Amino acid sequence: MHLGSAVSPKRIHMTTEYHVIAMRQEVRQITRTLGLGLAEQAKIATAMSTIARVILARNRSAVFTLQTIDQDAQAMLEIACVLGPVPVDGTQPEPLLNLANIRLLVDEALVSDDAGEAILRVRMRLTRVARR
Amino acid sequence: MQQRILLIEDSRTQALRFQLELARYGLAVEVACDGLIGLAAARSQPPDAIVLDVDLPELDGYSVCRALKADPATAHIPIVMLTRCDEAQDALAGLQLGAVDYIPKDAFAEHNLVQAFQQLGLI
Repeated sequence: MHLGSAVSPKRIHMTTEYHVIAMRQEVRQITRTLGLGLAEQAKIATAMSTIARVILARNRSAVFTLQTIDQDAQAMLEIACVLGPVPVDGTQPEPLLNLANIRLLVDEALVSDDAGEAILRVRMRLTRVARR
Repeated sequence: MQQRILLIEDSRTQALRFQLELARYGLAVEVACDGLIGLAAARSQPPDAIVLDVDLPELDGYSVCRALKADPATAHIPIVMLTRCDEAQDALAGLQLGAVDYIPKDAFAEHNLVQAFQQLGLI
């Protein structure tokens, strides 16, 4: 079953806890519109608010971009956040973000080096067996 | 036929807040004020769905959910968990116990609860 349709990229600028809650709700609404089940809505919304709080605590502000993408013919919701310059001391952001826990909630959560900038990408597949 | 919802919530203010919102959509809402009373109410007269707070006196929401899912008479009842805590591990715990949704108690909680019941076909 292929769910939903494309979502135009949406940027959310966060500086306060209020923005975290607003983003969590935005993720809820988008995943609902895309036809994900309740549990998947809860999982990705919680994953994003958990990550957002960690990033805010470290960086004071963050910009998240929500969009649908196609990856190997698989439709996915992708939420990306630029974490800042890749640390020269080799510090890995993954343990700070506790991505091991986050990966239990979403299909992909990875940090990549994009021209010297560390970018977090969290993805949820939009092809699901029909469910509640 | 009017759908029956069992709301297990120890805060009277919050119970009233959710009760009023769900009543607007024609749902009959019964409130239980702690985990043990809620568990007994669900077993004596199984509702169409349960809204279950995580932080409850006597028996916490996770334990109530576990007990309901382990009982063949109540295992089929959809459970929506409500929580003050919005952390990955807590959400995962609730969903792994069999809850269909996990909703933080924020300004959007009533809206999300209604949306969940719409998605469950109860509204």
